[in-house]
Amino acid sequence: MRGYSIWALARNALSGHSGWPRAWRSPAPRSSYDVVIVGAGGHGLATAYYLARRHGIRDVLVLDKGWVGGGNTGRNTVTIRANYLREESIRFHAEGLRMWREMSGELGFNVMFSERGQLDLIQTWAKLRDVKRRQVLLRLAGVPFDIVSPAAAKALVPILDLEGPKRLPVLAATWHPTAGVARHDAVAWGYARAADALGVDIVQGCEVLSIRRDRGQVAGVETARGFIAARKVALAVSAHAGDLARTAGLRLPVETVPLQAFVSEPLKPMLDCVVNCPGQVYLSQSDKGELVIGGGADGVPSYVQRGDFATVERVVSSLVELFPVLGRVRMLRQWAGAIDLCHDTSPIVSKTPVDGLYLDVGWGSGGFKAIPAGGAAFADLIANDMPAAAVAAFSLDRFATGRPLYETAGASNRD
Amino acid sequence: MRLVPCPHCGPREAGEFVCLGEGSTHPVHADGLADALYTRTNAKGPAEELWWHKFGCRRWLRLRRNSASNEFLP
Amino acid sequence: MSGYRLSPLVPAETVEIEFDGLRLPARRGESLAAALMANGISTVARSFKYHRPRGLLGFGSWEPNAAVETGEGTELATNVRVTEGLRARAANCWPWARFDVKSVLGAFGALMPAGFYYKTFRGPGGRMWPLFEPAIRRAAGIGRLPARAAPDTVKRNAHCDVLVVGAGAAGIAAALAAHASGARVFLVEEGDAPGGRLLDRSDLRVGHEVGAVWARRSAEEMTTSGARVLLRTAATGRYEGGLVVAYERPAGDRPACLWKIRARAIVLATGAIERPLVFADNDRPGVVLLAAALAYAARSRVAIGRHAVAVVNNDAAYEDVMALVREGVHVRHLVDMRGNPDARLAAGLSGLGVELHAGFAPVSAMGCPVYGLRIAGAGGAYRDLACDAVLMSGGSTPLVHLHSHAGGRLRHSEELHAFVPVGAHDGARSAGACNGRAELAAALADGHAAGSLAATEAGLVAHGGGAPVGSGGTASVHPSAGAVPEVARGKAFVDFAADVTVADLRLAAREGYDSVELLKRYTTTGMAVDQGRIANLSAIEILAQARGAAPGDVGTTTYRPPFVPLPFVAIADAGGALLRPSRTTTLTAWHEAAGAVMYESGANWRRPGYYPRSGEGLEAAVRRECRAVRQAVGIYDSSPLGKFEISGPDAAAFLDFVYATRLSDLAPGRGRYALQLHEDGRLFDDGIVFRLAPDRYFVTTTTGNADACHQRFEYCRQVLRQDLSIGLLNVTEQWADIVVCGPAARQTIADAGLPMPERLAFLGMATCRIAERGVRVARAGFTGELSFEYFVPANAAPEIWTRLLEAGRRHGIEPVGSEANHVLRIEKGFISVGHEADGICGPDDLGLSFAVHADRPDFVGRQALLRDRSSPHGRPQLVGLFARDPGFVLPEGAAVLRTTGDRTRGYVTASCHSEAAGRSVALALIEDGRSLSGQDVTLALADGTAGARVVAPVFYDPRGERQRG
Repeated sequence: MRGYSIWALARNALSGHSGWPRAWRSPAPRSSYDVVIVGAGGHGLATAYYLARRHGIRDVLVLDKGWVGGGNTGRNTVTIRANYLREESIRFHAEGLRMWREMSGELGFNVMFSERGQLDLIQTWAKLRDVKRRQVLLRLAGVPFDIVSPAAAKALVPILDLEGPKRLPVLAATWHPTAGVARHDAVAWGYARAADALGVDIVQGCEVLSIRRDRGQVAGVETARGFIAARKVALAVSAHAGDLARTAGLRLPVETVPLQAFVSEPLKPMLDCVVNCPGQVYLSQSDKGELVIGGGADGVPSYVQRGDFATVERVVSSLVELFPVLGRVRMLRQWAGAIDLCHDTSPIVSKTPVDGLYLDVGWGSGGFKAIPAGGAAFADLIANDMPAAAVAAFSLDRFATGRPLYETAGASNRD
Repeated sequence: MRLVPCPHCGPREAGEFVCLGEGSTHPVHADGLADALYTRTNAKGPAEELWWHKFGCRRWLRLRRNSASNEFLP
Repeated sequence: MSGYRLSPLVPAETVEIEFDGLRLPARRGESLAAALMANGISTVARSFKYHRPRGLLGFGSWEPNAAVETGEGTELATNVRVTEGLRARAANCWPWARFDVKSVLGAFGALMPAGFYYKTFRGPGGRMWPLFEPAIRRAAGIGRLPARAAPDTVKRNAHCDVLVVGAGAAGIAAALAAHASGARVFLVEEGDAPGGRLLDRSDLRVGHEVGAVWARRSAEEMTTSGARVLLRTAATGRYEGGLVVAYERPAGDRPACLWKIRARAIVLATGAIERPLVFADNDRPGVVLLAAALAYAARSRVAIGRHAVAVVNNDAAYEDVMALVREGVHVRHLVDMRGNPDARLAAGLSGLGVELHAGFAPVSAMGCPVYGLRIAGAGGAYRDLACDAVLMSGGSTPLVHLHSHAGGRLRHSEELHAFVPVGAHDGARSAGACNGRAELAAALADGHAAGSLAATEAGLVAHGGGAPVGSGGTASVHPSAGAVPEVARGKAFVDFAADVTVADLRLAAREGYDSVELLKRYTTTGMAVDQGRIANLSAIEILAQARGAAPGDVGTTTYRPPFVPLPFVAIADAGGALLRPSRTTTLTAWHEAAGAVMYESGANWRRPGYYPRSGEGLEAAVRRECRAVRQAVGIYDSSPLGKFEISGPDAAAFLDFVYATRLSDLAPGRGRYALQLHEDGRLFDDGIVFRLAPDRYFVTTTTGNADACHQRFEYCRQVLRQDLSIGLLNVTEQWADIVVCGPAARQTIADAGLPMPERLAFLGMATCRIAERGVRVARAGFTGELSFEYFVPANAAPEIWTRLLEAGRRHGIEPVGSEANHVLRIEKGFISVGHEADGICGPDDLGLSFAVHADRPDFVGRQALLRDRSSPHGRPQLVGLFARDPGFVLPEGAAVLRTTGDRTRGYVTASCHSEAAGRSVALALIEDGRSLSGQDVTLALADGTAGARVVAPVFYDPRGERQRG
């Protein structure tokens, strides 16, 4: 893998940038692999990379029906944080934050991870109680997390309006200084390039139609380009995991729902951190200057990557309520991803009743931040056939044993 | 703003409804309990769903919808 | 560029404006872009990345360069209206567009190819990005945050039979056809006037009228006879359910309006925009789109220059050039990239004195602003043509966005070198130039047919009349050559707004970013303010060349709303109190008058938190309120509690099914604390259920879950247990609920003259009358004291409340808020949904097994409850905690560890200082907590640790004698 650097850029500038090689190869798939990973998003590619890098398993194929990073990796709003509720989740994401800091160096690709911090606005006493619980667990996991005054919140986010008539006053805020953002596409491309350099094959535009089993054991995948045999098959396909798993005789506790996001026109810097008003709206400003804005998921299960206008109105109403100064700013583009939500809103990183079939699904709206830690843990699971401690709580059988890992406690009224 | 074809009220905006998706099953046996409680078919394509017309006739409706296009089906 | 006015400014319409520090005369109402062009200002902007000087390229919303700041936000100069005293400055430069300090960035252009930032700014160990990032951020972005507050906007809903988007020739023909069929028609047009390209071409005729006149007359006549024509209104997006969102910016003082339009059928006649050609320095000020130059001349009476060169690849452009000349703009040369010009068109040109260079391709623009164009012939022969403006026409890009928003398919048309819609989709059909029918006669026929079909789809009988007949504009827009040469030198721009060149795109393809989505993302093509409308087709053509594929196989990226940028204020609904209206009880006014600190509680209710006396803080007020309840009497407003009336022959069986608690053996006049479970065994809700009569129950639920309970009751009634016959009413807001509690409760009620059934036992309920109104009195409450709960008609509450307070004065009555209630219920170890019932615990975990009657065959959650009972270890259990220091109130949320360094075993759910217990007390959920009774545990706090002992979760009157008393 030829190094990327300012010197390489300068050298290539002399030749009109005609000397840059492909970032990753475009091989034809072979007929058989040790491991086939379905889904060339951040999770699939990171898993392939860590299989090759940490476990020496390089006979790996990553398949995608679209293009590298074309699913939720390239659609999400890139917030990276660890302020979860359950200790298992917090520890997992705390490790993730550490890996994010190292990622650009590890991959030789600038993924633009930027530790900008996240401010969460607290508007109800119930939420304040909830964050106090998180604060203790985060600090036990070594993640700094403070509860701050509205004035301190305003100092961090000057565009926040505390004065006007508000439906709910800002009672307090939490400050998560090690949270951040990264460039979503770059993460997929960085892992793709690094995995490719270690010998992993990445094949785009090749849909996996079904999983073939030989008695209780996985045999390979049927694809648009024919059968490909594999000793182990790993699903990292978010929304479509259910349909694929069903071809192997599995039903998953997963529902697919659309999650919308939108960006504004590019503006000069005016928001340094991620700011979140839980359940209503969150935003950050990209390096290009666009405000990247999201809110809650649409309430109706769907695979359509297109949202309902009512959701946009709801999210934007909260946006303008809290940041009236953004009223004149214009929305440039909106889109939706299809996210995979588990019954308990915690993910599944797990073996399955089918030998050799592994799942990395159910990341909901939180998949992007979990790319490095999730990829590493999934690779570990595939290589050793044993879940690492970090993801033991994310096993599929937690449902059978009646111990789901509810992540939205207190607010959970899902039947 | 999605429109939901309520058989009692006519097409109404989705904001009037609660969508329960595949619904909440009521298991009466211990066998297959986890499956009944947690798993979803979640198929990409036509499926029957439960909707509650909360701000309308308050009826629970069984509607067919294609999750690949969001179209309601007759 | 040396633009000038084709008609002189009249003093009466002249105003002075300021742009980049220059004072300029301008015509009131014209666009800022036209005013700048008229004043010969060629450099109006700087480019996004390299800060290259840029001029105007397009017209209306199709302008990629000219972003200006006016104090009202960043806007395109083409969309800013000239008013007296308008002050604007070019965005993204300092101090001005004509002299921009940041243009030094352009010198490093060679180091900034596509994706350069992915390859550098990492530093040793890859952790240096934070050092580089601030500078990159400052360099990026275009406008600054507008200082002025957002203006008022309104929202309107509209319903119609046929919505037509775009009032060009095709759109008007469609609207006329639908209108003639009797359809209610909405016609929306982004521009100031109907007509589209008819406004620019006086040679285009419809029937025996000049096209523009026909358009205006038709729009007026349709308006008079009931159609709605909205000008200055851009349809920005199509959404599910046939919803079209359109944004109207009226010219006068009326506020902007976001229209939400639902039509039975939609005709999309959004037209097409011209494609630029790709050659070196094609972004220099003075290089413009031919159609834009024509529009400035015809609509704004401003000429782009004094001697222009047109460079084209299609026949229709010849007609535009001739029209431009007729408007008075001198075009010296026309360069046709194709070899065999149409003889009729060539003759027309030479008659107007335009010199034709056929078979030549543009090589580079010369000068900045432009003073010449270098072209090359087939044999490599160069010609340099002197000029002060270069007019490009690279074919047309049909605006298929609204078709695509709804998921409509596209196909690549070989003739047009562009993507066109495939058929109608989701109730909308395309017509005219956006459907690949740009020539006038074809556009009119297409529009007419679409309008008739739309009327039919809307359930009307199509009017039999024929399409309007057009003449003129017969030349084809089909380019017979691509807009991109095989070889391009220098900086040849494809996406002007995002500053992306041919070289960037080719580099991306070479590096493997060779699908259309990867290309877009790696180079940022199509992601700037114009969302790639100008750039898309050229980028696809370049990618196709690089891959050796057909553009149709390369495909397009997905088009997303909004079609034109939409201010957030237009999308937002009213804020403040209207954002999510809060709910008040009939006693809220009293609480507020009494100086209560109001809290937001569940289900949008506002409730009193505490009632501070002057100079009193939270703690003192809570202590005083608690003391009143424990030692005298307190009164509180419990009206937000969820209340349901369930009746009918199967009411008892129904409740036995919904609740984990048996309710069928309840005697009339009695109540019971009852639990609802989730199907997976977790506690869902609690409350007291009273039996009023054998076939009638009064059910109370928690405030926050009242709606969810209603949903669940209906679900059980309609879906799971259709065999049961019951009636169900949500009476939450019909009944106010006043609770009088404390040792002096009885006397207070007696003194107030309120009825109090003598033998009403704990958890009993009786009906009685107060001032001719039926009320229900229960012996229930949430404080552990002697309590009487008066359910009274909501509008009777203020009078009864006041009577009780007055009577209670001599007993020391205090109104009690939710803070004191919280302390009182902790002291009693009563669980609270949202605290101890945290959405995870089951009833056994919370010590509520007494309220579960699992010996019955079936109820919601039974199977999961039995499952949980079969593996009871490791579950969270409710316990009490005494902090080692009795004066220290353990913080809620503190984590429970067995010893320091242990994993966490649970957390503190609620905690307070209890005057009744004489110390601090806390409730906690701890893994296998009941087995730890009497043992010491460690608590991890936000800062430091504390010690505590596990005790029983009840700190006051453990045998419940007081509430039964």
